[in-house]
Amino acid sequence: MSRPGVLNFGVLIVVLVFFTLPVALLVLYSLNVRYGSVPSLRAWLYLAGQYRTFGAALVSSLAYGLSAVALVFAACVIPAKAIARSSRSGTAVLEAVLLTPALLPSITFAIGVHQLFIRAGLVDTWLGVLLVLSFVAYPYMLRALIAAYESIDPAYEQCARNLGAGMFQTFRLVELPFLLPGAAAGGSVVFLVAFSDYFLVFLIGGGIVPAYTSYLVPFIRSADYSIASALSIVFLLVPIALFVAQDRLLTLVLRGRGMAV
Amino acid sequence: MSNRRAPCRCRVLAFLPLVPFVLLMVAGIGYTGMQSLGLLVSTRSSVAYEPGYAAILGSAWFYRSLFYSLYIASVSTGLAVILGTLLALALRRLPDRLFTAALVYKVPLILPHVVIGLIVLLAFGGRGLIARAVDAISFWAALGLTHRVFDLLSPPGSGALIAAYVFKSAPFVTLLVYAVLRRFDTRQTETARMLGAGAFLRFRCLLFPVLWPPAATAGVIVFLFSFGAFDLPFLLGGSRPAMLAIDVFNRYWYRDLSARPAAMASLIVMLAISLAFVIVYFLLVRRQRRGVRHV
Repeated sequence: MSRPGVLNFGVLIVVLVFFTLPVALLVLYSLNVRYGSVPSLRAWLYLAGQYRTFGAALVSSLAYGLSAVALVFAACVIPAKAIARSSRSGTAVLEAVLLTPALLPSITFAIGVHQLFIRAGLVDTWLGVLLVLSFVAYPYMLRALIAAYESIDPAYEQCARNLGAGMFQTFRLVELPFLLPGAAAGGSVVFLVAFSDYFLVFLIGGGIVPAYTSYLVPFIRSADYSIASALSIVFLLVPIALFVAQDRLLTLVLRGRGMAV
Repeated sequence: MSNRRAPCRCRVLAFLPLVPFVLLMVAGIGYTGMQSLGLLVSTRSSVAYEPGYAAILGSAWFYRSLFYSLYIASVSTGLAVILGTLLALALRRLPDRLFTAALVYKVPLILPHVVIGLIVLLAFGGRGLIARAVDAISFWAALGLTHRVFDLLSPPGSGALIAAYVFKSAPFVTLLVYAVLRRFDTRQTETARMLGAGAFLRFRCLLFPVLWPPAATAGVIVFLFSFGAFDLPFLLGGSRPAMLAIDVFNRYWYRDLSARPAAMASLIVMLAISLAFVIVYFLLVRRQRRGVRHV
């Protein structure tokens, strides 16, 4: 093999070791394979036995993750279009202000929000958790939709309107198919942010709202690494399964409309 | 253009759906600000509290936590940017077939922070993989070099925290840098080489101007994150000194109301520092309209 060939394989091996070894470590620990202990299915059997609490936590996290995606999409679509189509100089500043919540450390406003939610009775409720998560995650959707709208020629919309389509019809039949890939990308990030968050769910949910992260963290804190690893593997598999499903669905929908994928 | 003719009223109305989000932000920060001044702390108006700023500026814990947070954030950002950029440069040379396999570098991007914390504990913890491996080799033990070498960064938990942040953030830097690097025409460096430019000159004049904008924007995001996040220090960090987020949270959650203004004042300081970086971020982003952006 030539010298660059060997170098390339070297790079690949380093990358594979660094990024797959941690996942392999999770698998090994979940099976209790480690120095000085007997491999066992204890962790997986425990989770199977606890399927009610474990399932409730997973379903709750999935529910607020997916609801956050829907809520954020609904809230961002119209503002994204307004920003993308505006040629005013102040728009850039407005966009920056609207995108800021994703960059600020969440604790800087979350503690104030927590106290307001106490007064509003939103603390320890599912709705409160959904609101605060949507609030930290919406900029990712907004940015993705702005980029998507910037790539749509305004002439499409004008054509549709000239041909007599109403505003909603234009959106559903003309703009939405173009927006879908961007919305899917933004939605994936929004889902990941909401689904993976520990602090905000713990602060606003107060341990009352079941959550996957709140279920996992006590096992890590009490150093029960076998069960924590098994839970982490599920944690990794669920979003991957969702992304694959989303990708298939998107391809089907766009193909059905005769658009290039 | 149709938007020119759109009445102004419509443009303002278009932002209506985001108003609840903006209000939540303003209210949350406003409330924090009021409490940092000793106002609205208690529901009984007869109880007065001192503003928290004098308390934090005169106390050692605040400076210790602040500088510790800045230190952890700077070191992990520096390492993440350097390693992430090197990875992007290495990936660029890979042929397509190998590149597909190398996409596993994106794994940490999907992993939640609490899982990253767990992985670091499994790898670096006292009973972890590396500690065991190092202990197993008696040659090192004979030199007095046990796994304690990993605790060398003196405050407990610093090494683990930095390792976790670098593992999570370096792939993110790679993602942004690689997106720009992919469009870089390698014939430029070939031409420069033929014209007699050395490796350093080629890097400084050709590659660096392309690399630094995405690396810098990624760096700002990584810095902001490791400066103020809660999840990882909660799992990995020590309490003395603690990261600012942990310190503030403990003061808010476990102490009585008299500690509230000081905790809120440190949040406001944290917010001010973060906002400065946010402004730097948007100034950097404006320079690279066509690059891949995070937000």
